[in-house]
Amino acid sequence: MILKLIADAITWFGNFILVYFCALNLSYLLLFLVSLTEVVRFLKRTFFSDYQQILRSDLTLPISLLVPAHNEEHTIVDTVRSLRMLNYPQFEIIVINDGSTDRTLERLLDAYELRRVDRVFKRSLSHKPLRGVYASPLVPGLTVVDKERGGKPDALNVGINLSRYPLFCSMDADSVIEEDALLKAVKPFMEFPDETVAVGGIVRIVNGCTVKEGRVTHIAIPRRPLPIYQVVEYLRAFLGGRLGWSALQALPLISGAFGVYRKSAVLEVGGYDGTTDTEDLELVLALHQRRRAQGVPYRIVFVPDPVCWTQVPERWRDLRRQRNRWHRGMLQALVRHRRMLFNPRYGVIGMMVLPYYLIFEALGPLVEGIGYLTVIVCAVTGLLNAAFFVKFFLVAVLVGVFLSVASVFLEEISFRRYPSWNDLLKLMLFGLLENIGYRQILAVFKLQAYWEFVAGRRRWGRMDRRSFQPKAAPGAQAA
Amino acid sequence: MQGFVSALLVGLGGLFLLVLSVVLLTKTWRGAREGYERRRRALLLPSIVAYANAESGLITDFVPTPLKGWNRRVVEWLLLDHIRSLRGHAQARLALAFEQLGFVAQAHAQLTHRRWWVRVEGAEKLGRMLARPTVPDLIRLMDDPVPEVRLRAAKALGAIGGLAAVETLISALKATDRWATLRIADILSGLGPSAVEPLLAAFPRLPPAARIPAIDILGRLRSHLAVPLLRGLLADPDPNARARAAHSLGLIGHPAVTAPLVEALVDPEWPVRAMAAKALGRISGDESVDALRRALSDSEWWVRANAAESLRSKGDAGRRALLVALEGGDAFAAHKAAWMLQEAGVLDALLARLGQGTEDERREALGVLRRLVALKRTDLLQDIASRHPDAEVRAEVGRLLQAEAVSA
Repeated sequence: MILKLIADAITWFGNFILVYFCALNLSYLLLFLVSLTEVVRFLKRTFFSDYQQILRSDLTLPISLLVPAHNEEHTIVDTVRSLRMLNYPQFEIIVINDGSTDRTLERLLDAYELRRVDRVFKRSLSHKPLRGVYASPLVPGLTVVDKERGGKPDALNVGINLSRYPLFCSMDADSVIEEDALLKAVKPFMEFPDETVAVGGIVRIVNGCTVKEGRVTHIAIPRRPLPIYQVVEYLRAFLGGRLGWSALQALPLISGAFGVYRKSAVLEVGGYDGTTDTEDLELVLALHQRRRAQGVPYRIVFVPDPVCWTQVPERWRDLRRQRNRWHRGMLQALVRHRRMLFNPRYGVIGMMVLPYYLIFEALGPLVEGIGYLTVIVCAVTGLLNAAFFVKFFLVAVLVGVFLSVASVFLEEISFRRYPSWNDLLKLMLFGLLENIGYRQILAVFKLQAYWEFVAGRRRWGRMDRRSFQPKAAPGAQAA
Repeated sequence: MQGFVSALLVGLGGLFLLVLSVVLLTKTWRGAREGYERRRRALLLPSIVAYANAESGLITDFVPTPLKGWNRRVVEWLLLDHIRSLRGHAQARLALAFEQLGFVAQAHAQLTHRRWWVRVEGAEKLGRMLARPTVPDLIRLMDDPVPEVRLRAAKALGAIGGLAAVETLISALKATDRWATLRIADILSGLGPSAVEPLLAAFPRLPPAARIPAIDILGRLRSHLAVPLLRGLLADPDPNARARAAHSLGLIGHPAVTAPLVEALVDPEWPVRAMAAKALGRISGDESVDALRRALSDSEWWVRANAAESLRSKGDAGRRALLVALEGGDAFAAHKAAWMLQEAGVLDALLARLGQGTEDERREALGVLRRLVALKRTDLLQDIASRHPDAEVRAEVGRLLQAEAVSA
């Protein structure tokens, strides 16, 4: 009797998994098709670029670059150097030293001969107390703010208060922005000035690349396997996912590593919210909620060309912390914006994107985990249909591989940042391998996030940064 | 169920192999083409340069013809890339080469293609080719239903120039699309002085939406011919027009407009006052200093901020006004003045006097520093107290800060 009940439950769950699996992968496939169309459209529109006109025009909107930095002594000077070389008519750089315990501030003070100044600014958003504002006589557009530790959202709010321009760009201190990235990101603001409130660019992985003088001079796939998996993952997420959502006018997320926002719109929603673990997701959802509630037309756009290069974890421990935080942040954002879920008032974002995030992204690891558990239970109790299981597993792997290769395809027909055959083949190989092992480990990390979410635990999670400068060859110093 | 999963497996496998093949084939084909083009470019570039610099001769004397397939594309792009860096005789010869090789006719035919991106390509190329005979068709393209096509036609017209192009571009300023308006404004500004008179002549007939970009363009063209019109617009009923006119007058920088801009500092609309304050900073002369100092106490933040920035750019008179503002009762004006004085290097100059100046200069410097301490604008002073190269200055500033700390 009990065995029959278990068997019925397993059959029911098996059917559920099958429906879930089909729905999930159909969504992925549709999103990929939308992304493909959008890539082609984007390429046609930008075949003759007009970025030089944007650069020369004095009607181009000036931008404040906000760089929150916490213990970034290895990268901060390179980051500022790379920002100074951006091709953009008018911009300022505001580095916010968020209570670093290392030599982040000292490195900046030394590199740019910074002096404390009595800067006057509007305190539109609240934040932790400031310790000092510094300006450089060497670099007129550079401001460094030293403040008590309050987290990235708090640091960004300080930056918004100090910023002078109508647009601001939020970025990570360990990232390198390509020199034309701002020109490309600002275009939607110029095209639809009254509607565009935020623009995100693509984030690519700098591990394995050569960075000289704050510029990525040679692009290559990382050597270690863990970052390579993430290269494939990022390609899929940005080219195969966000581009599609953006085309549907329902982009739910702009990466914290690189996003340009209209300051007035962000001030309207009270700036960055420090009470969640993913301030970028929270801000974009808040912007959607506000604009939809107001009933005004607006655009939150992903542009696939402006590139931000960022470091990703090279160790499992760092990756676990990062993914744990991302997943926890997503759960927090879904709970906070639950009013939008399945609410037709919020259009595509309420009826499609957030339900997708809830059902597939948030609950996906749980369903996957229970699925693996069921397989084990079935195997132990002899209820497992081995032939079916093998076939189903192969289908799951094949779908994953297909989506990864399809993202590589999108990359290959569009931006081709990895031009060598070797890199292409590596990407394809890891697109295959990530479905066996890597994906399952990520699911475990995300499952851990449920527990932390329920327990109300919050932590940012540290990742060890590396300097962009190559290590000196042995004996170089002596020479 | 098993059958369904098996079918799924086969279907997905097929799809995977298809995408994989497309990726590999695309890469192979693209690699081959790019390699060929690179080699051909290296081979043909000297011939193109020789043709451009030659006094006479046809392009067909320099480049082997007939041009077909990938080879034709290489020559076309070599010419298109090269013409942008040339002027005068060499540029005219390349423009002629496009005609002789049939590239103009080819791009011209693209203007009527049913696909919008092909029309875009045609217009863009004709602009780069400086194909003057195609101007009437490019003007017609300004009515294309696709905004991107209209923009490219405008760009091409801007590149080719001529009165017909300028007049068409001016009438295109009334486009409802803000991006198009901005781009056309850029294109018109890029045409330089030749656009001023047609724009001034057309201004009274322009619809309200086109007047604002036209005002901006007149400012960017920096022609004194536009001053009377812009000065008159400072009294326009539309506050947006008044604000933009003030901004444009600042860009032109004619000293005769100081008085009307000073009057605009008391305009009932703050954007007009803010723009007037900003514009006055761009006009040389001290006549506006007093008015700008009064504007430091304006009710609107942006007017005060712009007035302070403008005073900073006014040389000694502006700095004296900022020092006076330090003494006033308006806390914001005093704080802003303190910052501007720091930014302008006035504080550094005062500190130098503190160390090496006469007794009067030391007294004056100490007075300003005491005022800053009283205003609690001491961040820079603290920095100086710890890092200034002159020990006497460090000690003096340290004493001031200590006295303030004790009194607090």
